[in-house]
Amino acid sequence: MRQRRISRYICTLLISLLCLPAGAKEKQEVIPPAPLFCGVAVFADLTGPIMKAMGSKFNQMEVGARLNFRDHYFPLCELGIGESDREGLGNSNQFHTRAPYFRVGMDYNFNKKHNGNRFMGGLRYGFSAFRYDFSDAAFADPVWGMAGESLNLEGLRARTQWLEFSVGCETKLWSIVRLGWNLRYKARLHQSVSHYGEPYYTPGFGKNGSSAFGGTVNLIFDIGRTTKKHNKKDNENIRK
Amino acid sequence: MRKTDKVHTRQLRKGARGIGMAHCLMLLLSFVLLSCESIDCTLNNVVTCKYAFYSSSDGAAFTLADTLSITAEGTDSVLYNRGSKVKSVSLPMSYWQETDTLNFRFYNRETGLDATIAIYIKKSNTPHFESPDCPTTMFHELREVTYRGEQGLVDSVVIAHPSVNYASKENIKIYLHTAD
Repeated sequence: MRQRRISRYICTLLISLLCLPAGAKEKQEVIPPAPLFCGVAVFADLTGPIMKAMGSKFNQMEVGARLNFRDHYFPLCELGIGESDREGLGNSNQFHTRAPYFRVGMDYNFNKKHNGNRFMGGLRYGFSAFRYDFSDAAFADPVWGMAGESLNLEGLRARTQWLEFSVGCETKLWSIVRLGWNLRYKARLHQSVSHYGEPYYTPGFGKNGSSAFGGTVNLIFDIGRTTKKHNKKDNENIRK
Repeated sequence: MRKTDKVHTRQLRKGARGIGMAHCLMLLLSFVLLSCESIDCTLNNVVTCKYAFYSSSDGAAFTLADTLSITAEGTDSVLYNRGSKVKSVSLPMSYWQETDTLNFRFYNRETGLDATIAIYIKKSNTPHFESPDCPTTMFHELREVTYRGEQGLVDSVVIAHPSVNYASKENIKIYLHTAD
């Protein structure tokens, strides 16, 4: 009798242990999948106008748009205007450029929950074809010293292509308004420049070099047909 | 409001405050990243044309036993003054002239040598810049070199490397008649 009782306890314990992970798994799978197309968003980078107001050596005004598939895949395009007016330190050199740039790519949201917060990783391809000016008012021959030969190079052409790897996150502020930031590592793929010299700044890329770091702080507006429904679902999920 | 709702709202506020802080930090970091700057100028930013002396008999590098002085037409400056035991010499080029004329004066008190040869260097000039912070320079591309002067002193003058830039390579080789 006693032995039968013990064996019954052991059986119950084993069955409950076997059932526990299955139950937990069922709980995890409760999160409903987002619809295939979750809407469109437009966004603008806030760092550009602030940097321009602060008198930075270069700045870029940037807007973009992206699609939202399953709340995980975000194909996007970004368009901006980069500008730089730079005077040399302790000399009379001046560099100027103002040109558009383009980026296309995709972000991936690593957050499995549809709770309004997104942890993003992304890859972008950037391109800019631009002209730049360089001048040196005090450019003179130190030995022969021929007069009045200041250097003024205008409309020098350059093309740059690069890849950007980004990580960041974003959160819902209110209704359709979201705020997000990301950090970017930029690797130059190809550049063709004038034989007079390389540009100091490449629009969209930053200070010219084989690689660069950057970042954006984006104000995002979710628009599109499924946004409202999705927001409701978001709110419900947050309450849960 | 139910107790669970209150707790949930408090958690949300706490989370939002944390996210707000993270956003502020990232904004600051973005500015720092975008405004970081360093000056990367080439250390060797002097552009000179290098002339080297060779023996015409065996083609080997040659050290002058004479005293050498070099002046340029179009300027009062003495580019090289009374150098002795010279193997090679690096001289500036004019920024805007198409042809530079350099007068090489070889002087030797013992042998009584006092000869001057004029070397004419045809070239193109290209301004070059690295960055607004770095000095602007002039690069040159040598096209033709000829000489005129004392017979029996110089055998030939040839272009070894036509590009005159930051790389300090031998640009012009001067082959001299030497007593073996």
